[in-house]
Amino acid sequence: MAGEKGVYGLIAISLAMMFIVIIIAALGTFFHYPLPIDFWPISLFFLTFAIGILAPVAGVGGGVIFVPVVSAFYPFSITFVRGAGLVMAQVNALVSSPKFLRTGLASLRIGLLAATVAAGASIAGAMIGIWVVKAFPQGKYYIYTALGGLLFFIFLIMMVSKRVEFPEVKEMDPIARFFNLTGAYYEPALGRVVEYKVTRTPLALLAFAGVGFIAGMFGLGAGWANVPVLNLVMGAPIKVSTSTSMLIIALTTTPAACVYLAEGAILPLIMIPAVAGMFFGSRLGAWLTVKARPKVVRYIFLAIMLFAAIMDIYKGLHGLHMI
Amino acid sequence: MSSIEVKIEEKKIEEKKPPEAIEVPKEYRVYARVIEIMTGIAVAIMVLSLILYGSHALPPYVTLAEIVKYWKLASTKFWMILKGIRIHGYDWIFAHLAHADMVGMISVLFLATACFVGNVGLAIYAAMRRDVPLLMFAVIECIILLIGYLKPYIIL
Repeated sequence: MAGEKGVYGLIAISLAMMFIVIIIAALGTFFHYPLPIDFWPISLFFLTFAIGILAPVAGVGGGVIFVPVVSAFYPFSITFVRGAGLVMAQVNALVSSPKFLRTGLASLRIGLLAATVAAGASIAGAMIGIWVVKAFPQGKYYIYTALGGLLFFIFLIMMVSKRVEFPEVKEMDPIARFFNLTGAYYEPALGRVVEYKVTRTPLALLAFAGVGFIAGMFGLGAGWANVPVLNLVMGAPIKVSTSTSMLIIALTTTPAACVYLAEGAILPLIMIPAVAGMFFGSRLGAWLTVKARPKVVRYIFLAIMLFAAIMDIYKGLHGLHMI
Repeated sequence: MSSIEVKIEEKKIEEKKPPEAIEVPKEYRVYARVIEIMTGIAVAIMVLSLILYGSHALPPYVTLAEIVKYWKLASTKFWMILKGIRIHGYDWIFAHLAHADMVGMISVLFLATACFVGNVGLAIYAAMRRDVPLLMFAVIECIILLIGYLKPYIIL
């Protein structure tokens, strides 16, 4: 009982930490409250540490909260936020992928096939995302507005998207057959080995191209889109979908992060505290998820995302003198 | 033992199979190991740069005070106003490695090469096994990653 109280206490402390950091950052950004300059990197560490703890509990990726929240409440240029977001998503995915590969939960073949289109599209997305900010005087406000709109879309997907534990695939399509997109993993809940195969590969590849473009353009990991495509379109079991999604994120964010790095759009003093916080927080979060997954955390996260979306749209439209 | 009994026995054994007994293809394990080593080195470099920065052992290339002053600017303007440089490629990182923050940027390069090294290993393995689909994946992915790395030098 005491252990359970401790788990819920840790969740409550993490939530409080996140809200306090956001409120103080907003005071500095919007009301020009004089904050010590060391506050910014330190607050980024604590913010991402809290996000890292809570994101697995909420069942959402850290990047999908980090980019909107920091772009909405911190004073940095959105380009630096997207650069840091990409590296953060990349580290998270690279750290978790090996264990999924070793247990057979992540499919290397499906991951590589998806990444061939998604990674190429992410390079295009990153280039266009940086070009828009560079080429147009009000470019960053277009990005803010588009990011806000995208967040509403992600919010809807997260609200309505269903998950199918073990989708039934009757027949593989020719591409899936040629590339032998099959696999097997041990499912403890069933106490047996689950064998799976996938279908509708052409449609899924088209979706992955779109997802890759968005990931590169906005610096998001895009697990929110990869998982439904793998699970609902291709018919991979949900555990395989979430694990393979991490591999796809690792492969997709890598070339996009290079584009940002080569343009000087990654600032170490923003990126390093953010990545370090997420790295340590997500370890604690993974442990916490096994103990408890209160649904209220997911709703709070979705509410934060929605609020950040409104703030991003406001910032964008205000910058464009439309409101 | 009848064939039905044998099948039942086989099913029982399969059901009791622990997770370790799942035969994961060798290429999966090799790929996982490569990623793990490269990411481990990258995270260690990142921590090292934090220590170097925090202990003032190496000065930063861009101080926090300078960043705060100009961080609202787009990256191109940021570097132009702050350092008078136009960044295009990775030379700016290697030219300033005596600074704590630039040491941290090396970690990003390590992260970037993790998947590439994994794919090269995979391509060699697939070629040896004559696994054409896997070889195709690995080679295409290597080419895409190379385009990503060399983008500043091939697309101006």
